[in-house]
Amino acid sequence: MVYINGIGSISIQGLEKPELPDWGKDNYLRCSEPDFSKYISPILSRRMSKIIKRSIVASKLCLEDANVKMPDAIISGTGLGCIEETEKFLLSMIEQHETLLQPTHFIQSTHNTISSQIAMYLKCNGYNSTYSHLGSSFESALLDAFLQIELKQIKNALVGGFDEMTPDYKNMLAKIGYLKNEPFLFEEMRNAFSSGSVIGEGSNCVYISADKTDHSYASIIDVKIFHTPENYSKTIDQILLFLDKNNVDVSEIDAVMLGLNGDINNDLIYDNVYSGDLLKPTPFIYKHLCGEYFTASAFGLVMMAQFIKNNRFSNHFYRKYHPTNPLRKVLFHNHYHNKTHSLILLGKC
Amino acid sequence: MADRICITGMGIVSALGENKYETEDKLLKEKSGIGKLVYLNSIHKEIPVGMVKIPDQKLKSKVGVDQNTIIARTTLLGILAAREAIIQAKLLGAGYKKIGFISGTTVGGMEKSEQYYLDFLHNDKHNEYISLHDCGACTEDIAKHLGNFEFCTTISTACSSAANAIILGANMLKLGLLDAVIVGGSECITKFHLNGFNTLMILDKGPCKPFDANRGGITLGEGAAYLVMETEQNCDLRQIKPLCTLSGYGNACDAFHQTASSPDGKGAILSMQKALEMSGLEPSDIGYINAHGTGTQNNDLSEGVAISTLFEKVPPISSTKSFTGHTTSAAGAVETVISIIAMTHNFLPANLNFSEKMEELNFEPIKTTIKNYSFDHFMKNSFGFGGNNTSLIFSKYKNNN
Amino acid sequence: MENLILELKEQIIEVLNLEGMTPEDIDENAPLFGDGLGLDSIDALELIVLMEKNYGIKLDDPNKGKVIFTSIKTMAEYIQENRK
Repeated sequence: MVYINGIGSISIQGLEKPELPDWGKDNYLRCSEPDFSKYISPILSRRMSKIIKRSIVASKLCLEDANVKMPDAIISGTGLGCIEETEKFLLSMIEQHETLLQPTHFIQSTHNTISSQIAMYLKCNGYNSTYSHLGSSFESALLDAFLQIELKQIKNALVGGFDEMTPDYKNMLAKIGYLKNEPFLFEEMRNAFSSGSVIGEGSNCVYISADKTDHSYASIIDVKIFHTPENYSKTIDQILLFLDKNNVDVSEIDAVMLGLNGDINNDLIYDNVYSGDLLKPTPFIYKHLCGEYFTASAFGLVMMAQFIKNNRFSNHFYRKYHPTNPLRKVLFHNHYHNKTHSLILLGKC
Repeated sequence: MADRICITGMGIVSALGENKYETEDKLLKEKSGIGKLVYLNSIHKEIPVGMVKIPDQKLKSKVGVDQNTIIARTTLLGILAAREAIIQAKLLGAGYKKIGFISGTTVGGMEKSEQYYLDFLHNDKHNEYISLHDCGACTEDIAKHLGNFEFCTTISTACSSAANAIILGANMLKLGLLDAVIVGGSECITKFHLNGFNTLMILDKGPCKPFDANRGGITLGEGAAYLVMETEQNCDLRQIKPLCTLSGYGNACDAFHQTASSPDGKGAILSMQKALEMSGLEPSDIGYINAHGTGTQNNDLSEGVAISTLFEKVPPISSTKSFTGHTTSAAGAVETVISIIAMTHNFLPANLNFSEKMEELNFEPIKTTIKNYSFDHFMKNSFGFGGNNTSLIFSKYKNNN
Repeated sequence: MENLILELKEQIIEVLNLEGMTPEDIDENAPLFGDGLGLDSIDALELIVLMEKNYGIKLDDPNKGKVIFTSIKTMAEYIQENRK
């Protein structure tokens, strides 16, 4: 078991009171950003792309929240990496026929530059890694940290989910059906009727530790990622096995934080699992508040950690109805195209 | 006593050939795979590279997909190497329910994206390649052609990716989360990173000369390599003899600069120390070091200093990037497989193209292949951009019963 | 030479993203690397690209850059002698 002792978030939302965004006709929103100069000197930040700045600041806020100066490890998940710098280098390489290219865009483009820059900013020599596996990028990072703490290789870790979404990449996703064609309606989070979702971006992190503190948000009892279940009853089996392994009965799960995103193909997978008689925890939703992107689940975890601690949550997170019990145990479930399913079992401290 | 992590299968595709046998043959004959840039439509034809000498059409035939299948070169290389490992480990008949696949890559489908990027932006001619771009998509595509997996993920830490995949795999086995795991990495050469390294002015105009006083930089390569790992208990249960064991590992961050390593090699010393500590071995137990040894002024000095600091007597050391080129995200696995081949066949691979010792260091690398040489443990270093330093220690399998 | 120095200052501010700095803030005789502006090896590479792009001067050896890029003044002098 580990404890979430700090959180940090830069998203299209403010951390305190998430609001229903106006997705407009584009169904695409970018982060609302702090004044980076408050956190990063101009000499350092001049070369940093937006995602690097956001990730460093989210990490700094997270560690301040945890009252910690230095983590044992920095582990990131990112689905697209530093896509803006990648695009700049790629486009100039094509347009300039491989001549007169700027090295800064190249070195800023590698996925692990986020984790490295955070480490350089903090001067942290600890374990450092980056996962880039579609919708389970963040959960892979979290799993890595969780296992290392269990094996006593580290005592704590800063774990982040970092993604940016450029207009060009958003347009490409639209071409392959990932973006909703019509203006998004909140109703679709209860009952999706068309494909595509709203698209966002964000840098969200948690500081997890083997040690509980007075300020711990929640415990992470276990993390599991499983792959391409053949049908929904296999998914249910996996969930039951997961709960059983941790001596938790289905009836103890007060809520499930779901990765519903208003896309009928995506949401059907969850509905098949949770609409039977067996698994009936109160459903919470979040992707309509942060947008769908590869590491949106990090935003969801940051939100749920707060709910468990404060037992207070905005109406925007209910799918159908609000829970009647305080949240003692919560399941966090996120899947990507039914290829990877991530489960996080959370508990009240 | 803790259950040992055993390697039961390996597969490798690189400039040296398409399997272990071709690889071993070239190593023993000191035939480097570095040569001309082929298959890639780049203006930089004069830069030597370590290409896998199989065009995409032939790779597709070898892995058994249709010629018109939408698939990235990195994926094709990965399937080829992983299959060899799976076959050697007799994994299909093992009856395992929970097998994992952990792959390291940084380019993913970039080799296709860079061809079709303008189409992605301006028309609908090649939309089918859009979802192939990212790293995870590549890993999923390799996995799809191999079998059913309980778990699948991708590590992207540049040149240490495959080595870090080995670490995660080992940790999952130690906690009993998987029955077996296939770990490694795959990377094909792309115009993107060829040009990227070129703008950093760290590519050697000739084949790389690791640890040489007159070294001029990196020679890029492409390839894929995977190991099948499982616990010793599982090996005993299904009566398969391990090739070797993974005795220790460590990862640390240099936290010095985005592309350069610290002059005192701090991150490297830390990762090597962690690996030694976990293995319970002394530096003097290490019989061979397969260095990261890229051939840049900076890396070889930093790594050389770190090794000299940690090892009172530096063991035989070579960088086999002089054979394969720098296969970036796959390097940690490609060079591990090369080193396991060497350890299990009792030879030390040469560090080709070396002629003059670096004055800052008190050691020289292995100049020519040393045959009939037995060693029990080797260390593999992989150091990625951003100071991501990983060290792995493998040992000859000795049955403790 | 005056114009070239001013031009160089503006280009360097743009290429190296020295936000908030103006040409007046940069002393053309002050060291660009180490102390002074505190640029690093990546910036040196960017300056090599700048020289080729804007002045047609190709530098194959990054080590030569150490001398040429000592200050804006030395850079301007080199460009004046070698520009195409």
